[in-house]
Amino acid sequence: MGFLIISLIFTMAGVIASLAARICCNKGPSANLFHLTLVITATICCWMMWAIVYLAQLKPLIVPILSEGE
Amino acid sequence: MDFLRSEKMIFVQLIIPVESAHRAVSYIGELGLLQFKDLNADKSPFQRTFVNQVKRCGEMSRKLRFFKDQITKAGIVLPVRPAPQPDIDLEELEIQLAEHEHELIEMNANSEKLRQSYSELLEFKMVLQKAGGFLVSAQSHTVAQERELDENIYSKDDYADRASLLEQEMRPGPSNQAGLRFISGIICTSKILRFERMLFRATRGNMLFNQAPSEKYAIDPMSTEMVERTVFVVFFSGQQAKTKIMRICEAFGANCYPVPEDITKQRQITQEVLSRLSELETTLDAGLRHRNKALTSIGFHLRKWTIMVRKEKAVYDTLNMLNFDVTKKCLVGEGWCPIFSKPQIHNVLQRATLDSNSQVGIIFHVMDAVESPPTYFRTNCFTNAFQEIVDAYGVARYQEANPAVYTVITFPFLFAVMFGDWGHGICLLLGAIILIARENKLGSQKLGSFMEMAFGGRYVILLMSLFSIYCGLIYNEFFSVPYHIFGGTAYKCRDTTCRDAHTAGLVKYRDPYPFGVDPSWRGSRSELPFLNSLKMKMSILLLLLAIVAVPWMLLPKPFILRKQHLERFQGRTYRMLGTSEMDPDGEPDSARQHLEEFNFSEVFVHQMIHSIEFVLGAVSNTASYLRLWALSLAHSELSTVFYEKVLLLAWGYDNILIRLIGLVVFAFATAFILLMMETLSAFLHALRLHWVEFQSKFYHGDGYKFKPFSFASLPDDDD
Repeated sequence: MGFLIISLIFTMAGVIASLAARICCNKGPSANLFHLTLVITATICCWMMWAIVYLAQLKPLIVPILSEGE
Repeated sequence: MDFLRSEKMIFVQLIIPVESAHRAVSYIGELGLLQFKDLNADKSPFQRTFVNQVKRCGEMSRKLRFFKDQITKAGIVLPVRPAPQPDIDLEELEIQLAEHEHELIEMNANSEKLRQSYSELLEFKMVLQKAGGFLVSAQSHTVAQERELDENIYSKDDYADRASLLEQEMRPGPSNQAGLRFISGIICTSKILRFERMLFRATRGNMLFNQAPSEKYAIDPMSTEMVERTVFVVFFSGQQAKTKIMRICEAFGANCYPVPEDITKQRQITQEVLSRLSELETTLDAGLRHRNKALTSIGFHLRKWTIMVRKEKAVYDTLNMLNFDVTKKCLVGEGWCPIFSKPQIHNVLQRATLDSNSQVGIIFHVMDAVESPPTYFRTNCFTNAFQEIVDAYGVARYQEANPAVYTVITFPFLFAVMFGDWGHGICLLLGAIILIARENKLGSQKLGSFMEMAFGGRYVILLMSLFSIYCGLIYNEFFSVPYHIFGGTAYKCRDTTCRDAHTAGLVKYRDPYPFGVDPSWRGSRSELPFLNSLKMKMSILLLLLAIVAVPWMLLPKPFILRKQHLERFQGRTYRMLGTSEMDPDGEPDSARQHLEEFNFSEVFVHQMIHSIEFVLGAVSNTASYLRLWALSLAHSELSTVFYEKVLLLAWGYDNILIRLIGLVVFAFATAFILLMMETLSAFLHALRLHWVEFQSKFYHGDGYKFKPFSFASLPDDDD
């Protein structure tokens, strides 16, 4: 459940970033497509990193065992 | 998207009448969008048309280098931005440069001569001062024998040529009377012992040697360093001894100067020498000032002249590449230019025709080309660095997909996976921001090789730092310390006493930590097994993505090519010749040249081979992608070590000095090892992943770069 919500947040962030890029630097169709590509790639990379780390902690096989002196 | 594939290039031919040739080529150089093909590649440099002009330009730049040398040696500082001066013609410049050079060489020779006589007079003065002392004491010990004072001129051969007034006063000719004579002179202190011994042996001990070091250091003309000198006086008798001693003096490079025995004469000569010295000093000073003035006036124009000569040489080198048609009095040139620049080049050529008052216009038309065009990506200062990274592996083939489009994001991302620490990321971000903020100032300066690379890649560093901050937040490491930024940890003790915390561990009681690695893991005994497995999984997943993406590019290719082939050759009988419009996604050369049937099976087998190659490569890539895990582990461990073993250790003591030392060591270790070394290391490995694993899958990279004739790209060597 939390996974889906935060994934949606990532999607929203990606959309907002593309809109921001379009508003700030509107430099012709080819450059716009290039900026869009960059934003989408970045969003996907970031989401993937987060998703891997989140899913790995969803159902952990081991738990933290505190070391002496903590 | 323009950046994905090379700009469309056309092959053009120019026919330029001779009178407007020079102007046309220099205007094209200012525009900088046409790459000339060398039509005289088989000729040696001496067979080319404009070889004389190139030689003249070479001579002029030699003279300019000579001036620059002289100016630096004289220590004159030039104004950074000289006042604008009127334009000057090349022939006039040549004449002016020759004049200036002649003048400068003359001045240098004169001052050299003056300096020589100045140093000799200086030596003479020292000899007079010291030797005078010896002679006085020698005189008081004399027997009442007649002694003839010999005032011969014992000297090096060329000393006699520059006879001074002093020598003319002296009595000429040696005296043949036997008696105690002496030779006085000056020699380097380092040689004095050997000199004395040699004299002793040569005269069989029948000599008296007196020496006194002179306090002042002087410049030895031979080695041009400051050496210590010693004044000596040798008393001897006999003609034979005299010749021997003279020869030994010559061999040791000792300068001999005659000193009169009479005290009044000594004083007189000393006075003359002193006045002569001061005269020479003023003359030398005046000469130096005159020369510096000349150099300064040259220096004002130097930069402008240098640029002009360099441009002219480039223009003549380019003109040499064109074919000179003697009968029609025109030059024929061929080259590549991007399609979008065609109207600009037309304008430039028209302007050249007008400016040179030529009756005939320049012909500029498109031709068919046999060879493949050069690759041209229009980059701005942001995409330039990434394009260079890709080009270092290989320049894209014409109209091939440009990996730089994705490299802009994936390269910093992979770097960040290996570097993830948002504290270090913030440091990198500050560095990148400083570089970008002072872009203009640093861009015009000459930087060292390391700073130049860092400055050129400032946008790469910016993106790397942003992604590193993101990955640092995910790994939850701030200088290796985790924070509870995104809420509480998901783990707690099994019961209130926390007895089992050190044996069985904590227990997960709610949803996972929403963003990144749970902070409870840091410092626990099971931290490494958990993180290792996490990072390994990440590497493998990234690898799988790379593997899955590529068959999409390879497999559809034969089907697409087949479709295009059929479309293109629908109306085969009405094929147009010499069309310049080429389909961007196909293979233009092969499609035009090979008119035979499209062999579907052949292409498919080709693709199969590619795919098999690719699968085998994927196996080897697995191990390679695990470097993402390895490097991020190394970074995190280094960071932990510095934090725990340096900072925390030092902070444990109450002593402020130990704490300060600990802080300093921590700062230095962080800056040099983590920020610099780890940055370079992660950069290198991300680069390798890109070059080998990513680009080798689909990238041919066997094109050549578009290098237009442009004044802006002329090498700026000495400035």
